[in-house]
Amino acid sequence: MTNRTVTVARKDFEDAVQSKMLWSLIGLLVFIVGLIYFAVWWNVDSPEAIDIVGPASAIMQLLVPLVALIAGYLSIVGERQSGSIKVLLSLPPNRRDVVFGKLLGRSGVIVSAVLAAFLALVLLSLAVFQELPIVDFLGIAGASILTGTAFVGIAVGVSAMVSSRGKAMAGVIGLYLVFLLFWDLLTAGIYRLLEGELPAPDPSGQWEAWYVFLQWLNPIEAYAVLTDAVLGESFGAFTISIFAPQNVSDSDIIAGEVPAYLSDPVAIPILLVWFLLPVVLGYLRFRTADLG
Amino acid sequence: MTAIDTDGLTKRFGEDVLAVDELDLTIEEGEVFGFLGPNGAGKSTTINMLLDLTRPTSGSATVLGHDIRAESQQIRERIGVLPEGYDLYDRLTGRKHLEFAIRAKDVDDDPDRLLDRVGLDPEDGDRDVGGYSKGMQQRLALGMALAGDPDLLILDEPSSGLDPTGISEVQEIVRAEADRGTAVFFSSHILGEVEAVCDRIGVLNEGRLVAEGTIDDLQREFAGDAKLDLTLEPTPDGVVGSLPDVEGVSGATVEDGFVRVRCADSRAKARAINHVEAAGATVADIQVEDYSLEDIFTALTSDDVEPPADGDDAAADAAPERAEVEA
Repeated sequence: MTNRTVTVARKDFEDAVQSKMLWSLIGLLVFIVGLIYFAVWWNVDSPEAIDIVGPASAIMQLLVPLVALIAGYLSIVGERQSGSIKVLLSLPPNRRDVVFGKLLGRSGVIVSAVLAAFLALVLLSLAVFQELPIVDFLGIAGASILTGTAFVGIAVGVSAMVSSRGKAMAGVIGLYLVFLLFWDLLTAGIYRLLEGELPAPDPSGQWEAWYVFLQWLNPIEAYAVLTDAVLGESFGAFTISIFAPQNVSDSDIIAGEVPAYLSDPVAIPILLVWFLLPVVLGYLRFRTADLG
Repeated sequence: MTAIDTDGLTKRFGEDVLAVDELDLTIEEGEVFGFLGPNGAGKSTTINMLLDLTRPTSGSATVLGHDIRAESQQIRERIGVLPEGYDLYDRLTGRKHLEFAIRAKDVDDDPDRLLDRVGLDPEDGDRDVGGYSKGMQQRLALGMALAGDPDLLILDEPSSGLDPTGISEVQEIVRAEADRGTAVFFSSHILGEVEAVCDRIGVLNEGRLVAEGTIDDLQREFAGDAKLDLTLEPTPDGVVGSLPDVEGVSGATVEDGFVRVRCADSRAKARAINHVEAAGATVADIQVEDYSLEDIFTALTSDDVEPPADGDDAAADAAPERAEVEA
């Protein structure tokens, strides 16, 4: 990473901070966190601060990826279509500086948004319950930041790869749907190719470890693995599962000994790969793109 | 060292479009070069190749001695660019733009100096660029290009969106930069602009360089003779035959009711008139057909307009090249 990358990131962040869209996204996150808060407080008998954490974490699972994708999908292709990329690339920053500067700048945006939402959560918790389950909050904030930046990576990667806003939007919406709805079908397909049959649990209701790992590779599942580990409960992910087990963070579903690659912290490098890999692929495409 | 040197630079888009065709150009350090051509001639494509925004199909080029593909980074550290068809960041102020350019170039420069240089008020600098007029945006982009006193300025249609005051300000800035020894590559489709500031001009049409030289060179090479039609009362014997003896007159013929004098240089017209009057003729009417650089430019760059000189140099030189491009 060079100074030029940081210069691009800084300008990008300054630009994004002025954006109405960013503030509406932060507002949406904070609003929904508040809504969840009061819904739980209203419905649960003698609620405690800890009761909030599970539902808040669950809603973050869907919202944070969405907000990150929206924050990132125009980052490069938007400048390409407007022509501001010509100004940017006439200056010393090169294409690599632009792609990775954008990744950093937009990551800053999503980190700010997540922190704002958690600040709201902390203030509400203190105001309503006069107590703060700090470890749980920090754990979920950390998982949200990792997941948010992973989805920023996906969005910036898509944005670097395509030549029009429409394609970028189609790309990120498509990927979001894949993670949410079709990951199960995709992994079932892989299972069938390798094993010659559709995935199914053994008679004791347990699954093969590698197949469970394939579920973990889905960044939304990886988030659930992390938050379930923090909360010590199994909320699982909101993804659609026809074949795969619903709750892949539960080690009881794994047949035989639990392999090291299915220990909870593995979800962190999985999210880091999602942060970087799409951007590297996007850069390889963008490096040779005709920007005239 | 040369500022820009292109060698057979060629860009094709797909099978059919030959945007730039075997361009050979050399621009010396400190020179102001006018890159003239109608819209769509390939000027911006050429510039985009120099900036590594578009990759050449074949050929090569250096800018300030650095290869445009392998050493684009070093090039962009030392040049200032006003691109064509660019956009700025609507949500950032003018000053933020300049600060960004200064930081990106890693130079020590003052945003206020740059604002002043391009004729923007300090208050304008504190406003978001989204509220700028096209002319103000153009000034700001020029200010970003000037940050850090580059060795070469590449200006692609710098006058677009500017009012006449803005245009003459741009020209003053270009002259001042040239006086400091900065080379300027000035692209435009308007001859007047280029004529006003450039040492040398290259005319690009349909991807090919159809003429190159100083303004005087071009005038000499392409303008051909001016025509002076004199209606004489009476026409003394032998006067037409003796006209070619006058310095600068290249020929004289008797036409239907007038004498047509062809003059190779413009001062010859007065001498020709003095000559016929000395021979006893009264000049009853004068018609002059002169070829401005504008006519030359039009002839070099258009397909349907008749060339000004009857089958003269300009048309003869330009026409075969155009034919090749079309074929």
